[in-house]
Amino acid sequence: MRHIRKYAKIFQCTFRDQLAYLSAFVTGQIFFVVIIFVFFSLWKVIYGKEGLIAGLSLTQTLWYLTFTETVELSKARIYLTIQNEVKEGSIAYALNRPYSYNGFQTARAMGESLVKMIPILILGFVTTLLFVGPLPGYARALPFGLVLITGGLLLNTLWMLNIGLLAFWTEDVTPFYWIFQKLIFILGGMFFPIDFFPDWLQQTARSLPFAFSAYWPALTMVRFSRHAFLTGLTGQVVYIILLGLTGSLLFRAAQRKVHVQGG
Amino acid sequence: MILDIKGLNKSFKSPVKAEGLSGRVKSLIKGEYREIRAVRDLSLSVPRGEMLAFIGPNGAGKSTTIKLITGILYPDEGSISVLGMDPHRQRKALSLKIGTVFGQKSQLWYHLPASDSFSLLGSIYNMSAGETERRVAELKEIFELGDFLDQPVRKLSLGQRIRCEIAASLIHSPEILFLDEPSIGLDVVVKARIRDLIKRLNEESGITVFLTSHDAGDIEKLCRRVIVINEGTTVWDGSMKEMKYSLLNRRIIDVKLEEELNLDLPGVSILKNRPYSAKLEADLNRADMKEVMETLIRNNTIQDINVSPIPMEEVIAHIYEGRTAGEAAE
Repeated sequence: MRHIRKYAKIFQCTFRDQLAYLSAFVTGQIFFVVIIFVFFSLWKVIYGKEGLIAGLSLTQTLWYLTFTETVELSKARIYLTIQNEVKEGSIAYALNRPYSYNGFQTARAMGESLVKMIPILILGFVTTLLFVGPLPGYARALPFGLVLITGGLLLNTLWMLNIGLLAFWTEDVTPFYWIFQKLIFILGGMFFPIDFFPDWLQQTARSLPFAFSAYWPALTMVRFSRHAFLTGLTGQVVYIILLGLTGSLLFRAAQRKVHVQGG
Repeated sequence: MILDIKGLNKSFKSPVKAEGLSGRVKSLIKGEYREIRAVRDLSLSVPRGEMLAFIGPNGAGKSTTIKLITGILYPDEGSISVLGMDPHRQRKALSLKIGTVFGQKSQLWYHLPASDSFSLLGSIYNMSAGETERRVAELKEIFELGDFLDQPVRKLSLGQRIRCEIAASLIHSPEILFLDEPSIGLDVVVKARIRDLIKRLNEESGITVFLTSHDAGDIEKLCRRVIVINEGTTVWDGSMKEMKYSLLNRRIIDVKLEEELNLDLPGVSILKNRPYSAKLEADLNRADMKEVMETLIRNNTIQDINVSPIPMEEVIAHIYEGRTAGEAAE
């Protein structure tokens, strides 16, 4: 119980600390409005006179992309934080505290992510509404969608944690992050729904971990079904546990590699 | 003994970066390593309640030693016992009993009031909300944080922030406090204040203080004992007084005279010689102070005289340069 309280407090403090950057962050999100506009123009041409592609309407597709972008843009780049701490050696300060380093970083990242998620959701709602009108079933899907979006954020955080810990072996982890991000973009269905893929790829892509960061949360929002929600949730839980485990194995191996920096 | 280290050794392998492309490729296949002995045959013991300065030049092995003591690194050889625990095996348990302040790395949340960071640290150290509250009230009084405890940390002056940092590291009532450059960047008045607080803390609660600093003032004003390490091993371990008065057995003599200085004695060197004043340095291993004074008074008409030990900073610089007690005597 005390342990949960510890990490909940870390989450809560980061959340409130990050609120200070809220207005700067929101101003920086003009980019997001531009992306939605680009997507809108692009998909309007692709749809042409077609009402549905792979069972999704233009309205649904655009809302879908708004939600996958929400997960992407809300992330806290902890792989950079961890890389810096390893490089500078300041990770040593975190090691002599009675908490798990991974737990601390995860709680912190989630605090930051949720501060970013809320304004992005609102901004996305307003912008997408202006372009393509309301999403049918939005209100009903929202509570379930929020659970999966949060799960997607947690999944991404754990990916970044694992990538960040690689800094113990290699000086620069950004290439790993770059590869991971491209996998989310394509296989995770961030740039277009997995339903648009050729059949042979669909099944695989749907069960890969990347889909649970982007595809399943967004799909649950735009085409809600109990099945979609439960599949998304189950997959997220499984991959969160897996990445949590690899993270702690990596950390255990990394501890033997803690070096002296700064004599 | 609160801390007992015997025959500690720790070395690191550092990759040797080869020159040129072919060298790089070669080093990928068969990496060459250079061994760095960061700590060699280090032994020391510290009784409870000690105020200890642990100093040495950059790269001397201070941080490595502290990381070994706190269990972050595992020794190659030798034994460490901190509060009766093996730091590497019982790192979490030990972390509940030690506090750390790093002058250059804040543990406070920047946009939140320090009181929030305090309550977070309370939870991190498994304290109940009530316990934390009582402890914060105590620290608030000792460190006089009342006026600014509820202001965001970013609005505090550096002096106020450091007071909060030190208080933050004491939330869980640790038995050992590691202070790393606590007074970096502070003005003279604030420095003195922080020193007083640390001193009071040590006297009242009996906390053991382990100070690393490059500030001679901190070391001189705070610590009763000094350990100097260089190249991974102890070059001096003794009381502050001893260090100042006997390690470098020299005195600086400033004299004001009515005429030119007339003095020629072995072991006395003239640092400055002006018409009515002079500055001498007497090496007490070669010159007898009594003889120096007598000769001075006999040969000159003295208006004023001031004899002082070598300033602390110079003492430290001498040790850093590798002149240990034996060499200084030569």
